[in-house]
Amino acid sequence: MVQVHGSAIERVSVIDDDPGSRELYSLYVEELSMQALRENGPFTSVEACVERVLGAAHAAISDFKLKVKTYASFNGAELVASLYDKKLPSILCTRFEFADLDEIRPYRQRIPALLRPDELDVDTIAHAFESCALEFRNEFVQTRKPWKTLIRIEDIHADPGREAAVDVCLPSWNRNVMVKLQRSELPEWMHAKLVADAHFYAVVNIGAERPEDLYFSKWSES
Amino acid sequence: MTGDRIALLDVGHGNGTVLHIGDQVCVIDAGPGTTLLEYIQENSLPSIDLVILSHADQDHIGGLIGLLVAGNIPIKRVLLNTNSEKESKVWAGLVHELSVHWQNKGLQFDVGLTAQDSPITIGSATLEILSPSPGLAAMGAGSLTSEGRRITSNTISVVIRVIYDGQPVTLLTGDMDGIALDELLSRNVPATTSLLVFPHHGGASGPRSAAFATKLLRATKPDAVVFSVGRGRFGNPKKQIVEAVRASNANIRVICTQLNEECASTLPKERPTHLTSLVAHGRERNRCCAGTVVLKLGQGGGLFPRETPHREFIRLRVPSAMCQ
Repeated sequence: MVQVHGSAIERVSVIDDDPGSRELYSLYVEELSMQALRENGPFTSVEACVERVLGAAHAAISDFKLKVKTYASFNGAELVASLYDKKLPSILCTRFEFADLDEIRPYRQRIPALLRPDELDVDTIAHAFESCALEFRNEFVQTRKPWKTLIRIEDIHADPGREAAVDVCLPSWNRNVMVKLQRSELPEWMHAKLVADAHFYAVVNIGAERPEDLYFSKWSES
Repeated sequence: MTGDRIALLDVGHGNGTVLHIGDQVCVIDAGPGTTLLEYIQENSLPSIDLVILSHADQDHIGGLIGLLVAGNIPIKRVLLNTNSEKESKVWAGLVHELSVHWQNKGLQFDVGLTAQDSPITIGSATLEILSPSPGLAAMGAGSLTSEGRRITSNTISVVIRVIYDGQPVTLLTGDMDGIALDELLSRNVPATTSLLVFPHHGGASGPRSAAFATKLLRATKPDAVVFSVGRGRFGNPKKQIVEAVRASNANIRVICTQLNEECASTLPKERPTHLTSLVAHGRERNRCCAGTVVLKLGQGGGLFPRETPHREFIRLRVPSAMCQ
């Protein structure tokens, strides 16, 4: 059984619209000698789901795409972030595509563990729950620790019919990877200043290895 | 760890070195990511007296941007070689941040560092700038030598020999290449050292890489060689280089900060016990071989992690180690 700082995680809610995936994730959980609570839904609000999980489990694993077949009215990123606010260790598990990142990124700071299904195993589940518990005590693993850093605007996208977005480069992280951020994710005061080569500061977990793991907060002028 | 020492940080693929001499702190190269930031936080360093950047590659400068922006540690002076040939985005970011600090925070930064600026004093230690010579630096990246060899930013990478108690204790070579080595040897510059940080992370490839390693080892005669590498990045150090290093001296100690995939295709499950307690980029995911390496200077000094437990780790957990 996974112990997180002295407290045993005995029951884990498994939230996925696909019964097959629900079963698979549950088997991993049971391999760790924890009870898997297979959540069958449907959930009409994220609040209702949070209430259900908090009342039944010590931790949760959720898929990202939950809106299929009216299983839920919200996505897994919203749910895991809400559970984070309630200090419940949670994992977002998804076979995400890059388009999904636009929906996940705004919640990323409150999602300590984002795993692909093929990354999910006994060790990663235990490690992810431990990382969550650390963050609840304001301690961070290397990949999640927030640092103020320099951000450079590389490109602006303003395609008709699509939400405006910017490509940013984090020189102290990885020069080769551009990170796309929706304009709506940025504070309003920045919108008029979004031009190529402009520099800003933000608090980012620059110890992260993958672009999908980065979160951005506390933007300021450079 | 206290006292005079040189910490060769495991920053993943890149270089980051911190010299602690008396109450002086000097950073030489600042690899990307958070290791340098964490090291400074962990050691409660009040300020950094000098930062030297060997050249403009991201794996040597990215961490300084983070350090400047974090803003919680005063940096008194920065010396850097200019070359934006390969790294314009990172370079632009660094120049932007250095300019902000120069204008608003009184940072002194000087551009262009050559052998002419040697020596630099850090407490009781001396930094000898062995390369580039002013002539080599003046030719600049992109030009050709008289033999038709192309000069790159690596050619004009700063090479520093640390002298402590009158002894050459460490040679930091940045990404020095064959042109720079030949030019240095042609000037008959003494380059012997007890510890060599191998250039370009042991990543030089091609038919002449082993010859380069042999020539470098013959000139420097080290007792130990460090490869500052990141697992999963470029497969460094290359096998032919490690073989040439080992062939140069049967007793030489070969130290990699992280585990090369060729040495260990899978990562150890168990937490290593031989590492120093200092921050290391590879620690969290068990990617360290030696992790952060420390050379303690003066009486009771030596190289950490100690050789015996490190060798034991390699024997038990690194099935195809190139260094054994």
